[in-house]
Amino acid sequence: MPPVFDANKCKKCRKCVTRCPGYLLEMGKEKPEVRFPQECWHCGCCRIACEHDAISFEFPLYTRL
Amino acid sequence: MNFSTKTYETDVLILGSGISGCGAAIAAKREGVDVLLVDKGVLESSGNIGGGNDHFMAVLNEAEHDTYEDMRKYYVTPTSGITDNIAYNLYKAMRPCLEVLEDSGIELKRNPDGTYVRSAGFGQPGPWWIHINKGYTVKPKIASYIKKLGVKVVNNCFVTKLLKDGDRIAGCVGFNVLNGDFIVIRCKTAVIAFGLSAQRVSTNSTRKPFNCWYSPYITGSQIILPLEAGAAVLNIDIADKGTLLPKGYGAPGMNGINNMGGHELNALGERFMGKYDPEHWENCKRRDQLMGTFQEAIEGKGPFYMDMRHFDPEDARHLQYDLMPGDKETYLDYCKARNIDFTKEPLEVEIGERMIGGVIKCDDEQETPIKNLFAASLLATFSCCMGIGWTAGQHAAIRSKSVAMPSVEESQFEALHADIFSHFKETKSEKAVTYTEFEDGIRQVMDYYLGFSRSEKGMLQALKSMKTLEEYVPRLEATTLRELMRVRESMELFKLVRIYIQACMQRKESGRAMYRRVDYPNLDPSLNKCLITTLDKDGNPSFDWTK
Repeated sequence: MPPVFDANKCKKCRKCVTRCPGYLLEMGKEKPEVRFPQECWHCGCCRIACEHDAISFEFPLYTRL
Repeated sequence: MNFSTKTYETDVLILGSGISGCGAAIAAKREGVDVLLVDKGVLESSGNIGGGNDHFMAVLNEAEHDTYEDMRKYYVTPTSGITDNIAYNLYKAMRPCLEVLEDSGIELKRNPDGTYVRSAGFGQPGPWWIHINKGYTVKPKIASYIKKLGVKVVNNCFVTKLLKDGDRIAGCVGFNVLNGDFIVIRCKTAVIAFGLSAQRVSTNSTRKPFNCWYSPYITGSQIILPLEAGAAVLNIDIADKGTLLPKGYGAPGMNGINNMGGHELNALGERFMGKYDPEHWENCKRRDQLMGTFQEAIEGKGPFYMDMRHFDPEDARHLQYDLMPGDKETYLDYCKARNIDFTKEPLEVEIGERMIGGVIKCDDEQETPIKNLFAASLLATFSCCMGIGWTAGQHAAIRSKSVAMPSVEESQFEALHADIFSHFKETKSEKAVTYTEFEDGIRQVMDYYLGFSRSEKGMLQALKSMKTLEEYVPRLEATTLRELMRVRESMELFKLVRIYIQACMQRKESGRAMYRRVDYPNLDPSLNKCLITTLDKDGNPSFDWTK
């Protein structure tokens, strides 16, 4: 369930990118991008680090079946 | 590759910045020595507590069955690898650890009279589990506390080898996973705290290896690096761990559910755990709940549920909205996606993936057979990790005051550097194998031959498959530093699983581990002891038993 980033709220501070323990995120032009969604532990460390309320979670199909 | 070299020197080196390493770093720093904390990840999010934790276990002499003697009976057994002294030092470390948590700003739930809100869990005799509010804040707050103490932190460093000077620890080497720097750290003493159990060796129903209970980024350094440096590891055969999981989601929270009185139901609506533990029912040892549920599953009585509808509404709210998201920050997003409400419907659960590991052999002061290397990560749970880390850090710091900095042969660095980058390529060759393909092979072997029920024949077959997998090791290739990190993790997992299979073959009985052997279905009282694993000069495991 990779994080989803709100470009309107994201300040591109990179804290989420730095904190992700799986090295899943890369900063894009407007907001971070999840480069390796299959390796997400859904720990929420990115959201814990975010000071701008810019992160929500989209749970993938396999967690809902 | 021509990456630069970075060197560090410290009195005490803490290997791993999970909560065990954090406990070690704080206790060592309090002794007034230089402390360096190194980890593949980042201090604020590394380890199993990175996503949070909902309980801190502490024996406080405040209630019935709340004494050291009660704790000793639970943890000091012929097969735990934990000595009386280690357990007593852990007990003594619990109060200081609690003080650190509260000084860090972590909210421990209290009753109106000021005592902690506590529950009994996992078949333990006393109410040892303190409830934590907003448990997902634990790691960042501890990280901030540690930095203020002046502990040197080296993030993003994948440690690949322990360095020795004769029979004593001398430091480690590794590489920065972001910029490729070759990193050399020299130390007087060290604590190894890379995490008790390795993940990604099997999968749950989602078949996604990173969607698991413990951190999927812990892959066996705790076992492989000390073994390769000449240490011994206990219990690789019986240190398997697993848990029930909320269906499809690698976050358990089962401690809160069970210790607050959740009822496990099978597909027939029967509450069955009394068959397997008539005294504790669901609130038994985690292993026993898992094996009881497995027995029901092979009888065709799944799926399974945890029923909390009989809870007092405030208890149900506290469990779902305080404790569970404290254990993993995204829990309420999961609940929303599946429309879960503990007061309305039972929560579907599944038998999750398994993990494997071991306990580094050490003496009463947690010193390993490698002089000046002290072992942490000897027991699971937030408090045991932090507390045992704490005592290891103390021992390592005190020792560092009376020993000189060891010498390290610099002539070995070129070969160590070459080894790290041996799988790093500018472009992938036609025969390249990805870490994903390779690791899928490891899990295929584990899931098929080393499940909850297994046999000698199956394990021999598994070793043949591992031999085939070994042929693919030279073909593992990485074109980025991130891929190189994953390749190194895959190689750790491969080495660990190969040792694990051979270790399990030594224990010819059932009933002590989180699996059964169909060819040895009964408990053998003569095997009430620990298996000791070491590596010979060729890297092959050899085994012995504790007396």
